[in-house]
Amino acid sequence: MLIEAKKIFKSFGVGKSKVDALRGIDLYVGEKSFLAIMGKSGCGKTTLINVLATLISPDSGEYYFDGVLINSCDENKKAELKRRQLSVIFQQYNLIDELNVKNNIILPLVFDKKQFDQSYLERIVSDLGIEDVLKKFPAELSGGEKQRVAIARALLITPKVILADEPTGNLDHENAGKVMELLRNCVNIYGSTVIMVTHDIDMASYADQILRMSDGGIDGVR
Amino acid sequence: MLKLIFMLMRRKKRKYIIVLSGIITCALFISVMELVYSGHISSIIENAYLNVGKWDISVMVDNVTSDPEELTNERLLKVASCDVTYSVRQGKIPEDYVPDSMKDTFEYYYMSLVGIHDENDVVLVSGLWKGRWPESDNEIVVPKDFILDDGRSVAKESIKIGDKITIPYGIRKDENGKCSQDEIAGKESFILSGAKEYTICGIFDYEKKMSTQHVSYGYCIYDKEQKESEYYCQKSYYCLCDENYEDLVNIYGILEDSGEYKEVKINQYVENALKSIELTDYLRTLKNGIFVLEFVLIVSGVCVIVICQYQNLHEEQKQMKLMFCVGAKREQIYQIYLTINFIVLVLGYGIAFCILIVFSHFWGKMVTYVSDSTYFDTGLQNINVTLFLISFFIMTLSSLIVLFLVIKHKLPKHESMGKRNTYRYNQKTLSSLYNLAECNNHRFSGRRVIKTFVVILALTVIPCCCIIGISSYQIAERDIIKPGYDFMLSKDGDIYIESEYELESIPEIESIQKKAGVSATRMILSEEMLGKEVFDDIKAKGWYDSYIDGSGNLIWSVPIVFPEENYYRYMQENGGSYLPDYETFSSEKKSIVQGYYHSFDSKKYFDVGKTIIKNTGVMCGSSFTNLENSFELEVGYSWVNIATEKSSFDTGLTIVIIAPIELYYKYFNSEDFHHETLYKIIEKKGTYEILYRKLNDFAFLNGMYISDIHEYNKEAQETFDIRVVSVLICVTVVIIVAVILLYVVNKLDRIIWLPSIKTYRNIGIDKKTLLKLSLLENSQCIVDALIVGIVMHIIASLSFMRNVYSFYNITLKEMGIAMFVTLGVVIILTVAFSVIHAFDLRKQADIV
Repeated sequence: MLIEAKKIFKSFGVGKSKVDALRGIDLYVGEKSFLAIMGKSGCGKTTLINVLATLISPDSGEYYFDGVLINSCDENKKAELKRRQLSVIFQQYNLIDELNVKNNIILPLVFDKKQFDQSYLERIVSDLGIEDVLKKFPAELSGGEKQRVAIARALLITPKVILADEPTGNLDHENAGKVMELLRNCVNIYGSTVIMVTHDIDMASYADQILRMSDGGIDGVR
Repeated sequence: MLKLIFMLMRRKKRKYIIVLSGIITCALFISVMELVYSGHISSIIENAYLNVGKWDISVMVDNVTSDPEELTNERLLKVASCDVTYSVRQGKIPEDYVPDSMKDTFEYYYMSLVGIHDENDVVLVSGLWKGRWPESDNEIVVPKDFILDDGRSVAKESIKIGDKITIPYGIRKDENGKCSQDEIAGKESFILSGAKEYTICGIFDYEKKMSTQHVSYGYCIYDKEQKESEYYCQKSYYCLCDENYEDLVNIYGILEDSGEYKEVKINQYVENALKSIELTDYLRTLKNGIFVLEFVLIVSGVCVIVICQYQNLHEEQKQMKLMFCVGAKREQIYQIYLTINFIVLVLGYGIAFCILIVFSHFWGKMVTYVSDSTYFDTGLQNINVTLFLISFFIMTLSSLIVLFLVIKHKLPKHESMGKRNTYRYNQKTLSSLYNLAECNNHRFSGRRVIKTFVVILALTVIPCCCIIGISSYQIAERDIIKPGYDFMLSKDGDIYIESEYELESIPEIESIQKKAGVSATRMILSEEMLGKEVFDDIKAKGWYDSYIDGSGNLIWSVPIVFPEENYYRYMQENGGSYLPDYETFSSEKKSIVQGYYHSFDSKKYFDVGKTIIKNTGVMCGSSFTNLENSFELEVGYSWVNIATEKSSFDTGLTIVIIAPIELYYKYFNSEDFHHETLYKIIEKKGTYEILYRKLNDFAFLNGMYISDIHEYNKEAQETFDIRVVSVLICVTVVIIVAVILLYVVNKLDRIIWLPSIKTYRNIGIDKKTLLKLSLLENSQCIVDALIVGIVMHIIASLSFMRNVYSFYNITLKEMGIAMFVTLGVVIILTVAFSVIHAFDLRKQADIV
């Protein structure tokens, strides 16, 4: 299994305001698969994604990524994981406004001190249809374009896993459909595994599996 | 990575330009403060030399030499116009020369060779011309163009190393044979007890431009039990002049007549040195004040930069988090933001340095132009590069450290990314708005701190600059001599009025009488006065006096010295027929004149003394004669010959005092300073001798020409102009800096506010309320700042600024007014900016 999460617990706050976001989640995801996570607001979807993205640490439980126990990794190791094997796509796109599209896309490689493969970049931007906006800044792009740039940034490092937190939440139906097709292609063409959080059943239909969550636990998998 | 950094900076160039302007302003402010005020202090030091002579007088007691004062800068020494002392040797007194009866009492002495210059514009440069400095007890060095030949004549050409010179010495004792004097009556005598032969081992050279050169040889004998009284337990003294035969006769006349007398000059120099030390203390205080000010500025600079960057980081927080999400290491994020900060600092300081060079150049040019001198260099020499670099390093280091800590604090946990700021806004009451403002200020504590800080800075720095500026003005004003007196006392104790100077009416004269505390007035009338209407009134009141003798001499002043009864008797017995008959004085007059000299232990001394000096413009008593059982002050009178414009004096008692109050200021800075110092010393030491020395200081005025006064007036006016320009520039710079800082703060404030406006609008806050909110936020900062600023200012006033206030006689009331004005200016400025800012936000709200 590429991702193995065992008995993951995560809570926020203390005392009366304590909220158990994840209650012993067990999750196993294989390579080149597309998993959609659905559930009501506050059920723990984003928390799960953040745990899987190593952006937050679980209170307890074990998280293996490609056989490596992430819980015991230091911050640099996690940063390296994010630079080389794991990409995150956010609902808010999270592009850096001061950098143009091209620089936003290659940002992970800058931090990894690697030269990017120009032909690979061209192929990605061509596939995503953003070759004309490479010199533009995020403020000059539409929502759909921004999300495609975020996907391009995620794909450039050829990650094993792409974690997407409601990537279509801010997009209209047409653009959302395009983004989903792109994510589907990430699995089919680029061989990545995609784990996506969504509320939209239509979007979830692009996935191989749908995992339903409620109250920090898993209701079932379809 | 560097490319990434520049890309990040390029897109936010506007913001960084604002930060940059803050840095440039701080750097410039620090340097300009140093540039302008160091010149100011140098100028004061220069005056100190002119006023009180040389500073490095050393005295040896028990083989321990006191540290010479600092400031022996050769250039300054050359412009010093009076009194240079050379201590050339010192050692233990040979037992043979101590009277047997006193061997148990006295042990130490020093012998000094003293070069004295009483005249203005004397340039004295010394150096060993031949031979060497003394190494043993029986050696001495003498001036090149002077030699004492048996104490009677001058033999300029006969000096050669190896010659013998005989120097008499003596001991002063009181009634009990101790080396001291009766503190109450000043009873003492001086016994010329012997002489010693010395070998000339060296000859020193000094350049002189004036005719009168005194060289004195003095011994000082210290009482074993009264080591501290070394200044007062002097000494045998010989003095002669090499070119002024008349003076020589006078001096030797004293020696021959009395056979014993007190040395005056050395004491005078010691006194000068004491005065110098006092002035040095003041200057040090002033320098410390400026140092503190500069330190405050550096700290301010650090705070401004850190807070600016902090605010930037607040905005960049999302960016940092994102970088973190895409795999940046913490070190890389530190690297990016610290490098940006460093680049901005280097850029800012670089630009500031360039501006400073230009400013310094023009500043130097301007001062050189105004003062017609090369006192200020033009260019880099004016810039205190060390201070500049220190401020840069302090700012860089501290801002990098603080930024590092801030980034560490701000670097994200992912969950914080989703957080939204929530606002509780239920109703538009003032209290709810106040709470919201308080909440915002708390939320953006950095912004509050910077606003508070800027106002504090303005509150602290502006008054300091103004006070130093005002003090410059006061000093400069004092330096300007305006010849003439308002009125003076006559020899019979009545008031005389010098008619040339703005006396137009009887009431005016009567008001002067009232001020002087006398009822009678006599006029010294000039010919110009005769035609005036007021003349008839004066005649009618019997105030006309016959002092115009038709000899062509306009009486310039009449002395007013009335020390004590013994003195008058003495003077009358010795031909002082012109002196007033003290016995005929009214009790009021007696009270005045006696009070002046006898009420040393009471406040009356000040009141009466000040009244006389102020109203007469004459400081009386220039020298003294030592009598058997008493001491006396000498008096004289003088006039100005209209034809020659030269002041003359009666030599009956050797010294005449003509001291326009402005000249008094010139040489002693301030009347109160002088009196207060005098009073303190008298009170402390309980001796009259210091009073004598003080009075003796006026002797140098003997040769004063009216033309000298005019010349000095001209110089003083130029100095005055320079200082006024300096003050204007300083105050202008301060105000500009304050405005720029406030502008920068408000700009940054806007950056922070903009994202919030949308939220506020969404939750229903209208533009008017938004305006109120903004004003409330700023008012909270201003209140904070005012409280802290006032406390800081009071602390500063009571601590390091205290001496400054005291020195310039700045009263509490004046300080209060200065504070009030400053507060007013700061409040108006701050409120103005707040209002502008608030309206700006409202405009932005329209756009949103």
